[in-house]
Amino acid sequence: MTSKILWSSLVLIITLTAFETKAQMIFDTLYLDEMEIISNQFEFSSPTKSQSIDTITKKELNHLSLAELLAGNSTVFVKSYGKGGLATAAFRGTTASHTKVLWNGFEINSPMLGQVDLSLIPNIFYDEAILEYGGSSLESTSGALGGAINLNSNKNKSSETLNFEQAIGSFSTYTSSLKIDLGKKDFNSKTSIYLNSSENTFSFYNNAIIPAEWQIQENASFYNRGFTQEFSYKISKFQSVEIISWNQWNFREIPPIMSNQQGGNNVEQQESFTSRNILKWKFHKSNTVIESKAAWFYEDLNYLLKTTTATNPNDTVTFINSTNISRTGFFEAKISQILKKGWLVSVEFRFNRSTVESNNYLEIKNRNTYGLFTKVSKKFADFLEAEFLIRQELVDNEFIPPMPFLGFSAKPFKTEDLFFRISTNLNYKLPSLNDLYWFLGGNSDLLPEKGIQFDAGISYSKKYSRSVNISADLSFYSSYISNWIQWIPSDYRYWTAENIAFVNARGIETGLSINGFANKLFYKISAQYSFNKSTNESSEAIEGGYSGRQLIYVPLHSGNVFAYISINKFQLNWNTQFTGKRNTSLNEETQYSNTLPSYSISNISIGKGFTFKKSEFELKFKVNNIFDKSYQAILWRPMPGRSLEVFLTIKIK
Amino acid sequence: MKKITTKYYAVISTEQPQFNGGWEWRDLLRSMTFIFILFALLLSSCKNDEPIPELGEFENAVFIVNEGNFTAGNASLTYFNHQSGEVEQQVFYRKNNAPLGDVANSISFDNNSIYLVVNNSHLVYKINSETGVYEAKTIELTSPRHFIKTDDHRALISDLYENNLTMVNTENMEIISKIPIGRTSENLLKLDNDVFISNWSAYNQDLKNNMVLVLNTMSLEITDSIQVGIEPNSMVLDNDNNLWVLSSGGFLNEERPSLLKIDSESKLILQRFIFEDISSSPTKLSINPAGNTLYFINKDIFQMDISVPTLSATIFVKASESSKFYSLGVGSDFDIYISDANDYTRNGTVYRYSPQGILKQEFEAGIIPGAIGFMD
Repeated sequence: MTSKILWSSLVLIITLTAFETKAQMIFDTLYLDEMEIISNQFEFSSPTKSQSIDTITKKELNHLSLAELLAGNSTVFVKSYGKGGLATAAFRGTTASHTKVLWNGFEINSPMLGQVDLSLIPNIFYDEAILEYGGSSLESTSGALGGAINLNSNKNKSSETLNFEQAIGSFSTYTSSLKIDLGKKDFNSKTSIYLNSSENTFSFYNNAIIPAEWQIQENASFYNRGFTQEFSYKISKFQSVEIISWNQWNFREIPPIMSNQQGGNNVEQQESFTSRNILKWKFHKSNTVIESKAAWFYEDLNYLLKTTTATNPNDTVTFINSTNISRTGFFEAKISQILKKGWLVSVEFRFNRSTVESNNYLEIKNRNTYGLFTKVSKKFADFLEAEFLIRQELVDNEFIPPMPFLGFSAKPFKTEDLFFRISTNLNYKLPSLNDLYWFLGGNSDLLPEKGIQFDAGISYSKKYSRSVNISADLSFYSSYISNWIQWIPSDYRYWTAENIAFVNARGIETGLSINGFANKLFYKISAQYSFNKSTNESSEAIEGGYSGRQLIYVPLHSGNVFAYISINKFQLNWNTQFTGKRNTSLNEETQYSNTLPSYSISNISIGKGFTFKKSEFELKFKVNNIFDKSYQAILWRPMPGRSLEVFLTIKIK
Repeated sequence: MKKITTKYYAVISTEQPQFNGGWEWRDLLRSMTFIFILFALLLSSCKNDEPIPELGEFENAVFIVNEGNFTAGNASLTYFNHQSGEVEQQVFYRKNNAPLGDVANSISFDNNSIYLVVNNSHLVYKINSETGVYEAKTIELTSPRHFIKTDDHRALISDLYENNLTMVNTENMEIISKIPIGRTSENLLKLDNDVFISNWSAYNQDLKNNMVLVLNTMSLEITDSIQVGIEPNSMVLDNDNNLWVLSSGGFLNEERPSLLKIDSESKLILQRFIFEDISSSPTKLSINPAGNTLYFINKDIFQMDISVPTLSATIFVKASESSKFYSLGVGSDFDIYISDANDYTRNGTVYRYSPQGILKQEFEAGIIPGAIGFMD
């Protein structure tokens, strides 16, 4: 046995030195198996703040994308250009580029944009979503000044061999998904297939033109088609290997804004293909975990804009065919060890190399990143836990300053699950390759954005009886981000990226959840609310008189409510999301301008399951935007009113 | 197995807890009440629409046409009463309950109406000159830029991408015809039966963008053309009816910028002033009502007498480090209005100077104040 560990360590060291790797990863992910065993207990003990999206919620939204999941069930702000359109996430008063999305531990942010389009992540392609707020994201990655979203696949065999779901919705929307789970005890194969398309021809009241009229949204169709395949093999009692592959084809039309009547036969669309592949080897024995992973991500994104004159559809005026290919290779190795007396140590090396080939760059551009991660935590008896971690990165032969995190959590009462936590950290976010090299306007002299962050929180959980379980959380945070990158007009006629703003983002997040049983009835209610104040406090902003003004598209208030009841295979699901008003410019709010009104959207679904021999069927009806609320998430981008969906699910054990 | 989780769950798990007690309705009721109170609070925090303050009729009006950001649909119209000093923002929205659109480019007037060209919304709005209320619109334009009345019932619209001018009926704003001119068009200036058309953009044409074309309003045909500098961006007529054309020299600084004085009758170039710095980009040539003093933007604001023999413009207003002078106009009272786009994402500022160069007033406009129009 010792020889096996030695052998593994040797392999690890050889690979590390040979490839000058770099490491990473959340400790918990390694212990996923254990976590599931104890999953009806809640550990609030960590000094970091993370949140797992509820499985009922996720199941309800499996036919949709991560954009809809986060919009309805977290306080992360999702900026959506409409159904099927670009959707990005921003945590805690920051922007989309401060949010990192990791799939099985690897960052899927586009190396070009530095962002992720959440509408292209079908919920069926991952099993678990964990949100890490602010500095807590340093557990998984660097540079996520807002936070990180971890999407993980669950390698354990599910109870269903086959799960097929067909959804048909308003506006010619069709979604089919299929999951096949096969395997014997050592070998497991999981396949997920997702096909989603929509004409997206919803009607909306266009009050951006005179005279105002009801219109049908045109040129907004989209499709997303893809599959994931996972193979896992248990080599021995302590070792396993996994291969995971995610391939997806996407297409969307980009409609003009409400005020722009068509002049000519314009075409604006985006097409993309992504392939993401991971190979994982893991050794896990008692208190030791060693893991080595490699990944290869490929993305090919095409943007097409063609405009013609109003008089002649063959007279092309603008023709932009932007082709962007990015390839990223990753390698990671990590060792974690639980020592005596409550000590835990983990060390990780990482390396990744991104290559971008774009007709918007003057030449092919690369970025090489080496990273080292060390984490030490210690439990002092049962009432105090301390955690220290540090990341160090070397990017294109330049050292980024170290990124340390220090946190404590305390449990003052032995019998009460009441926890206090406090933490502080430093974090650096690199400029994206577009910020550096986009032609025209990219600025290769940009510095990384620097975040100094503070976080404190209280969490509480209590099981009063079978019918009442309560858990609650209250967090406070404050971040100071300097060298914040903005694209601003240059002295010439194009915009350029500069380290210009100094942003202070601070706020409060609260969450409350209650569940329980009443005989055969299971219920669950949860509510979340967040307050985010985010302002630019740079000297330019102070001089310009807009320093105290909330940044654009950051709602001061946002929240959601979720209710679920199930009894005898009958289920009822209610969700309301609330988004406060948002500034669309940094100016003082004047009449009818510079702000978008707040909105709240409610959805309800009713379903019933039937069992037939070894199969299970479920029929479900869903009404989205029940109150037919007319709203805009982004200025003059219409959103659909009330819409219907019908689902049929077949499960075979 | 050792329990190691460091994750905190804000939303609790769905695993069913063990049976260990009876049903407590009161607990459930209490928690539900709490949730719904919270929910109600959330909702109530969002509903309070401000009452719309009344807006009177336009008088002594100076209008600032704010472009807004491309594809954001946040163009707007600012009204300034140059007698009372009163400023009103968003007047188009307030009069019509609809936004002006995406990238408003220019404004023109006749006795009863105001015409607003909204470039990326592909339209021209006609509104009442006293009330500001919508009257008619021309739609299905490609990329409209400027509007000029050619007689009591007709007008021409220039286009950045189309090789035609569009002629419209100004009563109902319907398109009468397209007039092919073989080039794209920008500024339009009328003198008697001639309309001078500058060819600013090289987009969608094989020809060099260095011409001013002359269209006869009777025959609706191009009767003449004048070669000027590359990218002519603005034109004015002086008190001798000479045409002044300012060219920036091209987007990629192909040549040095130039200012040309042209005899509007013979179409001959009388004087040619060449700017020294090839990388400079002078724009927005304007003239005072007496027709003897020119103004333009070349980072700073310059002033020049029309009778000077060489290019001897003097700085009228010096730009500060942060200022982005964007537009310029001279009112009937000879006051000079200068707009500053600030950082192009916030509201701009307008400065009003006396002809002696004394700052008389400063007021806020909308996002990217791009055109200044004087109604009297």
